[in-house]
Amino acid sequence: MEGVPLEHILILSALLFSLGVLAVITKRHAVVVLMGIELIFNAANLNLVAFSRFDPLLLQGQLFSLFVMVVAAAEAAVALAIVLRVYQLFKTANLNQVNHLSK
Amino acid sequence: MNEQAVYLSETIDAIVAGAGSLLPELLLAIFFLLLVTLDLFKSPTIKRLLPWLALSGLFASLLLQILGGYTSGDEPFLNLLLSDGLARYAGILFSTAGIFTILLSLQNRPLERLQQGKGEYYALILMLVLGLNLMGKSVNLLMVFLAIETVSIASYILTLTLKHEKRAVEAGLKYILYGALSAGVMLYGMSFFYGLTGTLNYSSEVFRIGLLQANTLLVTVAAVLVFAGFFFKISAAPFHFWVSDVYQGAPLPVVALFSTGPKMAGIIVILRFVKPFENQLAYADVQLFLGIAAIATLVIGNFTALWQNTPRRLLAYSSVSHAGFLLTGLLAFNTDYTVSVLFYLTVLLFMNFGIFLFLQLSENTFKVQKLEDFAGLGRAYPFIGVMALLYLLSLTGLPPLAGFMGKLLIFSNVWEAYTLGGNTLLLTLLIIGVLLTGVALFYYIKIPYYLFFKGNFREENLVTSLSDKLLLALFALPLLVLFFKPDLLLNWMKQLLAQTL
Repeated sequence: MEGVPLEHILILSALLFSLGVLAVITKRHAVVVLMGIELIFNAANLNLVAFSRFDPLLLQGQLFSLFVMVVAAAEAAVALAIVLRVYQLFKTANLNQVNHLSK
Repeated sequence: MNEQAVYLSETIDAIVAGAGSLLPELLLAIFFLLLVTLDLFKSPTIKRLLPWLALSGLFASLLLQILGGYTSGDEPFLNLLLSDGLARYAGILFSTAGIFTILLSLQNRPLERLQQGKGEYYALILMLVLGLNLMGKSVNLLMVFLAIETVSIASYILTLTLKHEKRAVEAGLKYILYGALSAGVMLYGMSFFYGLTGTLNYSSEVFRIGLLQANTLLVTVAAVLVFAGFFFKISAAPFHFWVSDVYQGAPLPVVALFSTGPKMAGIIVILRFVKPFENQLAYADVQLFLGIAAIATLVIGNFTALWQNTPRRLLAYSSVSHAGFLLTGLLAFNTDYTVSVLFYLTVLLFMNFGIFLFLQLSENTFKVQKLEDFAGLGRAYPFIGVMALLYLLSLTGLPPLAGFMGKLLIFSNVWEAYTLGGNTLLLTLLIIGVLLTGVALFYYIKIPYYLFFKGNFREENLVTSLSDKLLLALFALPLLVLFFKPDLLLNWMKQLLAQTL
């Protein structure tokens, strides 16, 4: 099968994953953290689709990635609703300032 | 093209043939839809019926799973869901947890005062139990991911039940951020397992052989990533940070459900997932990782609990330490650890619901917020005090209560595995586990100390409802029975696992 070599895709997905983790760790705005998490999901999706080429009959990887997109959308909907609620009550979406429980 | 047409018709036949094995899940899904639909009506009579409808749905699924007769044996449904004895026993535990949650919710004051969203609350509990059932049955990476996410999303919304309270909203935000992150990391690991083995079904021979041929380092990395997601669900270190916040923010019946349901389901998922990794020579690194995680969870859970001064946070870290004991039990490969772990889970179910009911009673009726507020309560209300003492001793693992039996079974399995294989990791785990049980006594005993030996309680004539007292006794009864007659449950469990019932 012709196309992009597997290694290239794996390196790209590893980069995406690292960028996602970096965003989660360094950024303090709730929405940006969610964007980082979305990058991690996409890195996994890229892997699944890439590996799926070795599974031509069942295409389990491609199927998996479709499910992942649906779940990620559902999760993002709940997460954004929660962020909205946080903003209404705390007047901020900065994670450092939403920290009353551990005191 | 013809190849795929044959595959398609085979799949449809398999769905028709296997759908019966999903009867409890279908039942729960139907009740969920019914609840969501009926919640649309404005009539207060219908609204009052909703909890009882949810309760009857859970009872129906419990009865179905106890009676059996629908299971498909050893053949997984579409390579996704395996309805074996383990799944059936897990399903019984999950339905029971759901029933207890609703019973607690009916007694909960803050929920009673809730104006909106009560119908959704009960519907979401059904959805959560449905997700737990699927977790207990899944043998496929895709199915595990979907089941865990079903449970997670229901949990996030349940955490925000009291959405006018700052603490609930903050807890929900932290929960969903940690949860989504760990789900993403788990997914990334799963994609590597798919790439290494070419299959998603981790109970299959193809998966086992594929792993043996793959690069050991890659397998270890992928396993660590996948366990991140599982550890989040069972609140094991280093994915336990959400626990103390969520336990403070969510209503107590939901907290009681979180401390049992997802933990039991996560343990069953791990139980199925570690089967290909039992070989000590090939997977020393994976086992080392699990061992270190178990030790870290035990140490962090027990020592952090020592410094807490509110009962909710204390019980949060106690729940982390129980995850550590369960992980310890899972590492006793080549012994019949499945039975011991299931026994521990059963005991955990009763004692956690018992202690959270006691806490709910204390918060609602006696306005307890901190540990000091318990002062003298036990002497003023002896029945409630004695019940609390029973649950706390069982959580510590002291005789004559079932918590002791659970820990004894797990430790004896670990000892047996050590004498069989000579793995020093197991010996370390055993010693640390026993020592930390001693540490656990120090923080659990704080509550009875305040209850009986400190100060006098402010008000003497507060009324506690009869149903609360009955429930307290109901949860305590199995703890005593299972200490004196553990064989009753163990034998039944063994028969169920061998699928002879």
